[in-house]
Amino acid sequence: MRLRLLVIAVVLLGLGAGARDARALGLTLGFSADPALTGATPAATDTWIPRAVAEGAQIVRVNLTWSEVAPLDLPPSSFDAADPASRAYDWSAIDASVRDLTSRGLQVLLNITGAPAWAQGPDAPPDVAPGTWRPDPTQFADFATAAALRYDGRFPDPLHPGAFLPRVRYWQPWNEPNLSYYLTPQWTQSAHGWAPASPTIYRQLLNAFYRAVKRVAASNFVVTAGTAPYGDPPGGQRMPPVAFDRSLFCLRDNARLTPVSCPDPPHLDALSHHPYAIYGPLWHALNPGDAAVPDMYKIADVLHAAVRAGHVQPAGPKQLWVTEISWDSSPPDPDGVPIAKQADWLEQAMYVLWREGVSTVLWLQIVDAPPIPNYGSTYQAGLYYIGGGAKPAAQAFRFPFVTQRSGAARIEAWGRSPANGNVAIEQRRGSRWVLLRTLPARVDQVFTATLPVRGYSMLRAQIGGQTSLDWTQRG
Amino acid sequence: MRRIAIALAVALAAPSSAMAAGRTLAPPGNSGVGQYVETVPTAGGGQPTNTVHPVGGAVGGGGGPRDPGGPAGTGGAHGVGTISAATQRALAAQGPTGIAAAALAEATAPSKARSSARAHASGPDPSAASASAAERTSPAPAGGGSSPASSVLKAFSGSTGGGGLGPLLPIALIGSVLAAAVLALVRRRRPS
Repeated sequence: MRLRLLVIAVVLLGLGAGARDARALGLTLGFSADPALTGATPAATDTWIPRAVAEGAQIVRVNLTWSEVAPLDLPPSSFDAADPASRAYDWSAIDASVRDLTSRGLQVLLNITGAPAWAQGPDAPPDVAPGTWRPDPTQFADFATAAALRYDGRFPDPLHPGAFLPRVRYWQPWNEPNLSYYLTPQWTQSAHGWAPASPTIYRQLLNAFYRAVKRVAASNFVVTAGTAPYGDPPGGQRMPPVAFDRSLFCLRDNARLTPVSCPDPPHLDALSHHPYAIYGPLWHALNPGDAAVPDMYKIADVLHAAVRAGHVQPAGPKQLWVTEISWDSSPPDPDGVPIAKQADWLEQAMYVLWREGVSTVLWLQIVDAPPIPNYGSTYQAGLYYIGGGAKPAAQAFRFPFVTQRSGAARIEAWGRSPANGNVAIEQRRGSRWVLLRTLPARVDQVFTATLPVRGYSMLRAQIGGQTSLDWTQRG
Repeated sequence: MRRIAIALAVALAAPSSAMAAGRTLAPPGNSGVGQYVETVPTAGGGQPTNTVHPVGGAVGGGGGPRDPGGPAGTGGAHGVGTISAATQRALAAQGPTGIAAAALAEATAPSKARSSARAHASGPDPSAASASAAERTSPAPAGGGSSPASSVLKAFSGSTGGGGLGPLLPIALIGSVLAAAVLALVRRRRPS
């Protein structure tokens, strides 16, 4: 009997990761740094920004490459890196994006990456990616101060005398710091083997950045760089995101996430991850240190352990964001997923991520990228084709609605409402749609319901003349 | 039952994944974006993949809206390898069972089949081909590998950088075996 209990206990421990309870009714949606939204051409932004708003987006991530705004060569001693009005800086492209997006009611998340050569550490190997080698936290803080001052809502707009540049509240220092594509070195080698390097480098950058932008405005909101979903074994070019976060938060690499010494713990308001999936939104990453859509709990577990240990500053609960996710569709990409499946996966991913505690999701792009040089190395994950036609994913993004069986005769329905009012959940019976339930809903808020549905069923939601895609619930 | 058997086989293959060499799967439609490929468990040893920076190039894995002019890295391909892309798609259409079967086939393919499939999958893209060749020939960094015994130990103890139960699992397993042995001895000695 005892032996049986022991075996059962071992099995239960092995299956310990389960679904997480949802925490909030809000789900903020937006787009990542799609060139169509962030200044490819004025014609493109005039077309696509209004469509992004119409699709229910609330926030757009804008790439701000430090090395493109800052001077190319080592600046003279008179250069004040923290002065947004310095003539050595060229902010014109970012000014335009921020103006375009905020004038149409969208929030901007400024994502700053890529150090200029003079702000990198010494002894960079020749083969590392430009702008990635041990960026100087002090220089980064000065640049963050300049950016935060320029977009604090009180900086004169150089193109419109008498007006001010818009306020930017959301800030994201760096991108995918667990990849050598963005930050090097990832590991350092010693007599004892490989030791993580990038988490420590990133912690210093993050904390310097956080203090700088909060000094300008305490209401600024700092989101960590989204981690890429997959890693390699120690010594590789990519650190598994879970291992990266553990090291970032000074937690021992064990099941209990035991805290270790952390003299200057990470400062943040939200932790971000990019859970790109090889298959659909229910497909788990194969390696324990990797994290696809249904593995966000791994990221959340590390964050919660860090908060409990006091290894996150300031103290208190933190948000979980996804600042990139997508699936390419076919058409146009011959290796993408069929357009109907792309739409299904999009809305199901939103549900899964929300259940795991994610409060903001940024889809990679609103419109497909041109396949130059080829489809395999470019993204065709848009809600729209290049020609302007909408894919089913547009409707899924605007009004996601999914169900999940929770019993033989019971399902859980989930959606995000595109309008205020009463949402009607309907079931198809023969050629008719029959009302199952009506419940109050608020725009951009999540609604949920438990419904008595047995077996295979087709369902949808309606509100204010808008209808979700049909969702197939299997038996 | 078949689903359980396949899932079990995949699960058994998974613990070695942190030690795996470079069979990779890419998100659908993004075979040229090296950043987001997933390393599939193999018995190939403990060297990391070199799918992000093709040897000799400045920055690999390029392309995409963030780097439209960047060189294409290898990054594997969606479903490249032992079974054809068409077969992979057909399997994927079968749902979780088909996907698991495809992953299992990739994970357990003989190395010879994998390398010839990889060379074939490189196709006409010269940058991908050279990167693929670089991946095949890139040596394991010193200290990056590990002995079979330590690999097994790490896989069991979860100390591979990817989590796990730590020392609890081997202790529990050894305890279970000892308890079973003691129970069997007691039953044998007890008069019937």
